[in-house]
Amino acid sequence: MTIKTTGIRLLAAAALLSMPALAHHSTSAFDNTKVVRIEGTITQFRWINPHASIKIDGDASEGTDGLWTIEMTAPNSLLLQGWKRNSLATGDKVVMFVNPLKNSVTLNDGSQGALYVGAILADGSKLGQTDGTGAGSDR
Amino acid sequence: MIRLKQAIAIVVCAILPGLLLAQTADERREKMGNTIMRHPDGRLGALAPENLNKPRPAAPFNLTGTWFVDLSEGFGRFRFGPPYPEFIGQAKLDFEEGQRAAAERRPYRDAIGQCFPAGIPMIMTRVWPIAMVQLPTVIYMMSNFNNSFRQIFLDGREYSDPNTIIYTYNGESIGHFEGDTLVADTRYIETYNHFIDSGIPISEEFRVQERMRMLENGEILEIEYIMTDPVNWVGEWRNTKQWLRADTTDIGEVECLPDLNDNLPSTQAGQQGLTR
Repeated sequence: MTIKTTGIRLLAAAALLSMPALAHHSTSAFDNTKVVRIEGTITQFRWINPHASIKIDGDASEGTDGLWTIEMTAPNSLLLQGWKRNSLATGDKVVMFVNPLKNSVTLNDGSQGALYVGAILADGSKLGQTDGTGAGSDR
Repeated sequence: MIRLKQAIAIVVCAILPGLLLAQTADERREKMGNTIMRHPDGRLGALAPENLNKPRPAAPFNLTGTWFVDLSEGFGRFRFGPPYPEFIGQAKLDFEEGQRAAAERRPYRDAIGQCFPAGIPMIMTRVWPIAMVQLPTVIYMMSNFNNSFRQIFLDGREYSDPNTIIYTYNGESIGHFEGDTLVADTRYIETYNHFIDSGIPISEEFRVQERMRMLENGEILEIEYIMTDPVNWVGEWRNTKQWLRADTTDIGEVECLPDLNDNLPSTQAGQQGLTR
């Protein structure tokens, strides 16, 4: 494979990764240039179609500490990334990496909203992007 | 005497169910009257054996299978434009507002996010598999996205009476083959919070023609969309999409629950701009 070909493939891969995501709705409300790290306790994990979701109560590297609601993609897609129905349980101490809402809207339950990027689970295992970079995908 | 009564009771209990069973299906249908729905014009349903078994020319192809929209050229291919037609009236203003919202990365008319059905044509390009089952009289399409259901009748029927039809988000579709192409025309499409791409509205005059072909030995389904709506744009809005067979998956069950959006920040941010 030539350097040129490799470059083209890398560019193509980058283009694919930067695609806007949409499955059940638009994710344009999220700031995919910013990753917030939240360290805290899981209060809810819903493994359900069309989107899984997480609620975590913790300290955020940016924005407000407290309860965050994290939107995820469809469980079928998460399975391919290593997620399972029992990946999280209420009470787990974890670290989440998320793209926050662009406009800091307080949700109906008073939480902050964000899109899933990555997670360090209670047992130390990592899912998604956990290096403080990356754009979440909601598809 | 008591023994005689007991014997009679036993005989009655034993015989009554038999008497009920003796009623024919026709008799029971008759007893149920209008509880069992039927077409107002008396036509046969697509799955009636009498309809299925009518002699018909063999279909040029069978698209039974599970399909996934081809986004290999970019995720944005789920949209039906650009190119866009010349929008007119309110649709022109709505389109421009949608373009501004997209540039500013803010939600606009997030009807699907609020659990309104995607409707035709958007239901066809959700990022979920679609199961299709083709029979001689009908094609069933079930999108995994909210299990949305379409049917394209192939049994030669006429469109329903406009005064008895119930408008739906996927409309009434009737198809016929022209050579190796299946031509499906759809009308009677519900307009309430039903948008194309970024908030482009439709009117009750909205019509969709889909021209379907199978390519690459049945591995690719291609559909050309020809959409007209003289209230909202000039001439035909054309766009061609392709789907790939997805043989290693099945469709599952997806529901838009009443409290779904409590857990989805993007939808709470996208509530503006809908008709209430």
